[in-house]
Amino acid sequence: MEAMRRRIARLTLALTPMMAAASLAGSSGAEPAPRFNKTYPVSTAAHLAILNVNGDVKVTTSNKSEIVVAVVDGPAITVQDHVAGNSIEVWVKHGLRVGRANFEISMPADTSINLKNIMGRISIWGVNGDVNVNALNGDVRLVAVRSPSVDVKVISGDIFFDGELGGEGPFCLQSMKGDVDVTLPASTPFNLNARALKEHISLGGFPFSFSSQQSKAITGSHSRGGPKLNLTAYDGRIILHRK
Amino acid sequence: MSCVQCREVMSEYIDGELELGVETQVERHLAQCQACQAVRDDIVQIVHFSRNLPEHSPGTGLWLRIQSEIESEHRGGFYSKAASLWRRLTTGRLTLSFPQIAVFTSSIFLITLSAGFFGWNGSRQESVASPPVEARPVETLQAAPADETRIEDIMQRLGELKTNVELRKSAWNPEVRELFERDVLHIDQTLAECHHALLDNPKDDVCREMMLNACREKMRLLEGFSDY
Ligand SMILES: [Zn+2]
Repeated sequence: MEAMRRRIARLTLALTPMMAAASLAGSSGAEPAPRFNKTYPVSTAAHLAILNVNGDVKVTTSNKSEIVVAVVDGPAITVQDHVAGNSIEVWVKHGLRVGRANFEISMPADTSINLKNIMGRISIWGVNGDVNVNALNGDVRLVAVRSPSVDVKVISGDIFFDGELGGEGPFCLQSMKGDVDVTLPASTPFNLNARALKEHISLGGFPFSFSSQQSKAITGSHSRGGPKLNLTAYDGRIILHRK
Repeated sequence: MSCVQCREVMSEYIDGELELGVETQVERHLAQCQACQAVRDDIVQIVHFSRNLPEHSPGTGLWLRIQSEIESEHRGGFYSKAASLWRRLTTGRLTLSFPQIAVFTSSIFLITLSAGFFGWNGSRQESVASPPVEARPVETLQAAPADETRIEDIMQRLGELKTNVELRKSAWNPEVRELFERDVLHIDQTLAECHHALLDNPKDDVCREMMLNACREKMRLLEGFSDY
C-alpha cells in the first residue's frame, strides 16, 4: 500500500509539469507543434527527393497513386517542399541545431527516390524505381527492391540489400566503415566488381568466372554477366548470399 | 591581414614562396585565426600526401573506370570540359604523377560539385526543379576550366569546406559534433593507410583508386556537414 502511494506520488510529480504546459498552451491558444504530413497525388514513375538531416527515413510502397510524406516523432522542425509536376522534394531546414526528425514515406513502387541524410537509419522496402542514397551516418537497408539502378553511399554504417537487379544498373553500394551485405536470387546474371580494403570478400557460393581475383579486389561475371554490381567496403566485409 | 587575403597567398606561403614581409603577416594572422589554421593544415596534409607518392603509370583498368564514370555520370554540356580533358590525357602523355591524377579526378568532382551534383545527383532527374537556394547554402567553387584546375584549388576547396564546418560546429549538438569528428578521423586514417600501402607497392591500382575515392568521400562528408 505504501509502495503504491509512493508510485502515485511520483507519477503526479512527473505529470504536473506536462499538465501545466498543456494548460498553458491551451490558454494561449497555441496548437501543438505541427508535424509535417502531406499527400501528393502522382501519376506513374514519379520522382521523390528527401533531404533529412538527423533522423530515420523509412520508405514503403502502396498501390495508391499518391506519395505520402510524414514527419513523425520530431520536434518542431521546419519542413519544406517543392512540387514540379510528378517530382516532389521535401527537406528539413536548420538540421543540426534541432533534434531528430523521423520520416515515414509511402509511395507507388515505381517511384524513383533520391535520399540524403546526415545521420539516421534508412530503410527502403519494395521499390521498383531508381534508388539513390547519399548518407553519412547510419545503416541503410534495401529490402524487396527491384530497381533498374541503385546507388548507395554511406560513410559510417552497414548496407544491406535483399532484392533483385531490376534493370541495366549500375548497382553501387559503398561504405567507408561498415559491411556491405547483398542477397540476390541464385540465377541473377551480373558483373561483380568488389573492393574490400581491410576485410575479406565472401562470394556466397555464386559460381563466378573471374577476370581478376585478389585478396581485396574481385572482378568477375556470374551467369554470363549482366548489370554492373559494384561493392566497396573500406573498413568492413563484403558478403554475398544466394537465395 | 584578412582571412581572404591570407587564403589567397596560402599555397605560396606553404611553398615558401612569399616575401619575408608578407610571410610574417600570414604567420601573424595564422597565430590568431583558427579557421585559416584549419585551411593551412588541410593543404599541408594533402600536399604532403601527393608529394610523397611516386610517379606511376596508372593501369588501363583505372583509366577505363574513370572514363566510364565520367561518361555515365556527366553526359553532355557542362561536363564536356572533363571529357575533353580526358581525351587530351588519353591521346597525350599517359604517365602521370599522383598529383596529376588527383587533380584530374578531383577536378571532375569539383565540376560536379559546382553543378550542384552532390546533393541531388541524377541524370534521370532532369525534370526536378532546383531546390530553393536557402535549403543548401553551399558556396560552390566557380567552375574553373578543368584542365587549369590545380591541386591547390582542390585543397583550397577542402579548406573552405573545413573552415565553413569549423564555424558552424559550435551550433551543433555535441552528439553530432562527435560523430563528425569520428568520421573525419576515420577517413584521414584510411587515407594514411592507403598512402602507406602505395609507398610499399606503387603499382597497387586498387589501393590508388580507393584512395582517390576516399578523398571524394571526405569532400562529400564536409559538403554534407557544411550545409548546416
Ligand atoms: Zn583567417
